[in-house]
Amino acid sequence: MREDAELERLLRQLQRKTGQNLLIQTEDGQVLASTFSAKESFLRDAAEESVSMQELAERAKALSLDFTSGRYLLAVRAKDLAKGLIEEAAAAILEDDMEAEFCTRSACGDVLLILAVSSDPAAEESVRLLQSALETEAMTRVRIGISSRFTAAEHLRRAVREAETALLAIHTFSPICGTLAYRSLGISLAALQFPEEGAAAYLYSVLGDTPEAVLEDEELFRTAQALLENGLNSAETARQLYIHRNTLLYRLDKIQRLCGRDLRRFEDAAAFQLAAMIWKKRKAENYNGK
Amino acid sequence: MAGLSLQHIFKKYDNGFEAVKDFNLEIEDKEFIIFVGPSGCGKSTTLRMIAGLEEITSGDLYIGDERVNDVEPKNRDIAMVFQSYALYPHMTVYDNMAFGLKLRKIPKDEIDKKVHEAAKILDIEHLLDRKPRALSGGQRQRVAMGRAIVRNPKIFLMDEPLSNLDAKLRVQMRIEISKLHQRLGTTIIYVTHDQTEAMTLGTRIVVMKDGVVQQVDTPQNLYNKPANLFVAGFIGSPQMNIVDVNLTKEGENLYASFAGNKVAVASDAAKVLEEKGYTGKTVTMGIRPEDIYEEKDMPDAAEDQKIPAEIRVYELLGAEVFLYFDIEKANFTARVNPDTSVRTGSKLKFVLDMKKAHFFDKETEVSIL
Repeated sequence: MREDAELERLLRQLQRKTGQNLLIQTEDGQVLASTFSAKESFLRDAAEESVSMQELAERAKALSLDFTSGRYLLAVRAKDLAKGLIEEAAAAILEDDMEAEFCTRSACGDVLLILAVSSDPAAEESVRLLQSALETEAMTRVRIGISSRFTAAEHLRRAVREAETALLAIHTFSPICGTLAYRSLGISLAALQFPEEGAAAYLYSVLGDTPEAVLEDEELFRTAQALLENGLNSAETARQLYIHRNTLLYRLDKIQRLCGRDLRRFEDAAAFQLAAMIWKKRKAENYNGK
Repeated sequence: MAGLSLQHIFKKYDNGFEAVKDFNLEIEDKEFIIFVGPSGCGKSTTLRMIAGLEEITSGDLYIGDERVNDVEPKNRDIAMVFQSYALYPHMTVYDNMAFGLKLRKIPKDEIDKKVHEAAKILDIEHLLDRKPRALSGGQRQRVAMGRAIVRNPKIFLMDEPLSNLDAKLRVQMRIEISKLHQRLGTTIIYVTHDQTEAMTLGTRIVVMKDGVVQQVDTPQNLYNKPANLFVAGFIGSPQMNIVDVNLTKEGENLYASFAGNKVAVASDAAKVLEEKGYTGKTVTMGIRPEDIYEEKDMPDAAEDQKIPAEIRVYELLGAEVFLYFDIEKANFTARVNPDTSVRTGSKLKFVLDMKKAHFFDKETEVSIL
């Protein structure tokens, strides 16, 4: 990174006026000046994949950053949410054995935060509380994607991608959801990564000529989703939907008549779920003009 | 004044999912109104649209006389209490309640005044120096509400605030919230999936399913006059017994037949069913467990009110007994006196109080009566 002292001085003046970290970057990605701290720059460069893995490792060492005890990366998406507020809320919400180490804002506007937490469940619980606290305090919608656990600076880039993928999954499949961990994506990850050229063929092979007959029928689709969420347990599904078990069986029979899949069988249920998620993904992409 | 008006509110996400459809509701100033429904019915989404945490796809939201669709959440004079309320573990109760105000750069003396006022209302002034780990579940819940109260909002939005508490504490906190409503004198909109909580807390309840309002009514009317099959099955525990019946006319009487049984429909209901052209058709009949009696408890009941049954499960709950029996594929539950001698395997006749029976159109599931 080439830095111009005069440019940096001017940037700092702007930073004081705007309260934002700023950088000046050429078209080919070279940073001329920046007000980001060294750690923030390190995280930002990892996110933008503008340095090699070896350089990342060397810079981490120079900054005395040791991730061997395990870290998580959070991607926080919220409108008009100051980075400083996220840091304050994180510091306030975390228990003694946890720490929000440092954060930066990515090129797409998400705030990336490194979280030092002992385990997956502890990380997810902490993030859930953080999301709730931020929404309560900032009164703005907040979504947080959580990477899988990483233990080295070289993994940081992958962690950023995972956290952003979790955010994409929220947007595509569960817009009501507040937080989502990459490790929980399951079939939705397969749907997100499913090649577009094969998607239509897969949909029709699994669900027949008119997949919309089930996928766009709200009652049938909700019934199918509830059955899958309840591990194919009919009694629990009926209870959750507040319908009689006979009504549930009638609806499952109808789904089978329409698309040929018996959702009481695991293989059919799994194929159906992947097809349904591909359908949702395509709808979301069409809605956004892709 | 902080009444609300929701007019033709829709919420559609980018993936095409319609979470809320044509939601219309007028909420009076100072009213305590409940949104209830199963998970995913749109109740929390509606609450979040009122708060401004979700954008309204179409429709108008008024708070008082002001249209607030485009008003920032922080400017709507609203405070929320979430299910996963987070108390900051390192801070005292005082600092927990003051945190949000500090972030908004409120002057220190004003913060102090607001925190003490809220603590007094909640009766937690003696806890201000404690940290959350030194508090009971109920006390923590009160602190969570205190964080909302210090904002002096016109409207409180509560999204399943008691669902993380155990059953006993939930009952206690319901009473506290009820008292709080009276003390604060503000509008409260409360979301829950628990129909018992809704029935005990609210003066008016909005029942939702799949993003659509099913019925808005008092708890008593929801119980006695459900608008459709969903409301009938959702409200009341144990659930209302539901069975498809064929309506036939014999002489002067209308009969409901199912699984080899025939029961006479009460005259008032029969008149309406006949007038609406349901004679000879199949409809769905509902009857609540407490409206099914042992034959011995209704000695004057006519034979055409009775159905034979064999008890599958006997369940004693102390003050009442639930008897579960099947008639072909239809499952029934009866709530009877605890002094019953009936047990699992007993064979007896039950009397259906057909004056309390509900009838629903089989296709539309709407109440016929």
